[in-house]
Amino acid sequence: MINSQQNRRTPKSYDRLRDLFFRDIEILLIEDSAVDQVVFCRYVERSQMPFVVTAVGSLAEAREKLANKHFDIIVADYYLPDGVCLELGIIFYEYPVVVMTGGGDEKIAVGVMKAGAKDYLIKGTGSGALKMLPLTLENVLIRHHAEREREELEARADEMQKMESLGRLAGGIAHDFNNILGSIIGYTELAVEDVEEDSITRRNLQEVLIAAQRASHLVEQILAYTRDSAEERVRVDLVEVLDEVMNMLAHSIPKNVEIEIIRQVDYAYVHGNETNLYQVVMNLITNGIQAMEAEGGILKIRMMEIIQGRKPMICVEISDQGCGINRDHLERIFEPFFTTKAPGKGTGMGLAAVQGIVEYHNGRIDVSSQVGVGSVFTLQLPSDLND
Amino acid sequence: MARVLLVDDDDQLRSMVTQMLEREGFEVTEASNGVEGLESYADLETDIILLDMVMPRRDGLMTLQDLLASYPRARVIAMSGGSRGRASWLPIAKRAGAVGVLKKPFTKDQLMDSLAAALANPWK
Repeated sequence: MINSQQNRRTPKSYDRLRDLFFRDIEILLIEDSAVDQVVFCRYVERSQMPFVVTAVGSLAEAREKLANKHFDIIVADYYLPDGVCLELGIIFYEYPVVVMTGGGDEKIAVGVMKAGAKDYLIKGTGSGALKMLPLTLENVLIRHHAEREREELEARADEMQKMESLGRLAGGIAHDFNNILGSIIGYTELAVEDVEEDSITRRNLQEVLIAAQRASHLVEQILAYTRDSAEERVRVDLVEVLDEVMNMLAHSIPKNVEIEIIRQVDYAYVHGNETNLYQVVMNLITNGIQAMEAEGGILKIRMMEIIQGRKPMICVEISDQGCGINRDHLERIFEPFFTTKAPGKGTGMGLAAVQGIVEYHNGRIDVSSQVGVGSVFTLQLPSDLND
Repeated sequence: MARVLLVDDDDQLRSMVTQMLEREGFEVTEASNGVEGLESYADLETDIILLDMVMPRRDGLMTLQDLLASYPRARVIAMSGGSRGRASWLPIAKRAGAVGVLKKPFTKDQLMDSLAAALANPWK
């Protein structure tokens, strides 16, 4: 009876988890009793769900494992040789944690839930709780996933609001600011004409001009980030945009950087603003090249059509073999004014502008990166289906 | 040498552009808003009008429309640094009949190029 029930449920659960994770689910089991470890693993195995268990016997070992590897869920015994599992502290908020307690410890169970645990299991023969183990894990994982998604959506909405006000501000001052820059550039040019050609004064004035051009570029990028919707949109072929960008860059690509273009489509039509899309592709490719300037490597650009939720999307994947981006930076990489480049080298608006433009075109931009290996930027834009 | 009517409400920028133009031999008349600009053009009918698109009193677009309604052959170069939520006035100015556009901030070369192109435009 139990078996047949399991068989009916298992494939469905398997699918639900697969849909969320696309891979095996990593469980960290913190349990000092070797017997309980074996029992736990047996129940997990019998569930036929895509779980992989890593078992440790103490809090110290658990901390070490967590520092080096990603886990999807933690199952912890309450009492461990070097303390109680509550001492994991912040980990209860970073991971979904399920706590196991001995029979009759309901008070403890309430305590761990207050501390941020997602669920608890009563161990011990006859409690039957371990039979529920796979289902408990599944529920906790799905709930945790939903919570995270909500948090992410809220953070994104916050971010968009911030950007909207920045955009309004930028739009409001752009005119005055550009007039001021116009005066700076113009008067400096007039002064340049009046001083001797090889003089230091002339060289210094040229620097004023360069600085003013940089300021002007910055204003432009801020405006691009918060583009007005009245902007003209047409049918744009990203294949052509890419060709144009490559032409533009042809002479500035360092010798140690090789470009490999893999085009799986002949045309890549999207609906949008050509100048903005050019800016996006240019920005991503220049970043990739810059990441490899020191060590060299291959910049791979792949263009293809994919189906995302029944909608055809044009996908451009740009992978470099550069230094990579660490996790802290990766989270902030699309933030306005965030830059890891030396002062004066980057405005911190490049990728922020890219994201602004892509979102305005109903697309998305994703990044994955590994330090020392390289980064992959994936750009997706809805295909233009009109002929 | 060609005569230019320069309409811009930014005093500092205006006298800078005037200096640039006079150095290149243009004869410049200044106006600091659209109303003044229209009056001056009625008097002088200069070869070219450099017109800022964002100004108090009569804004650039209205000035441009009024100007072209009365003088269809007027050669207007629209100038703008973008403003108030709108990324740029320049495509709109073009559709409204400006012969050229200049994005602020501009360099002297850009200014001279756009003047030369506007003066050479055979459609006016």
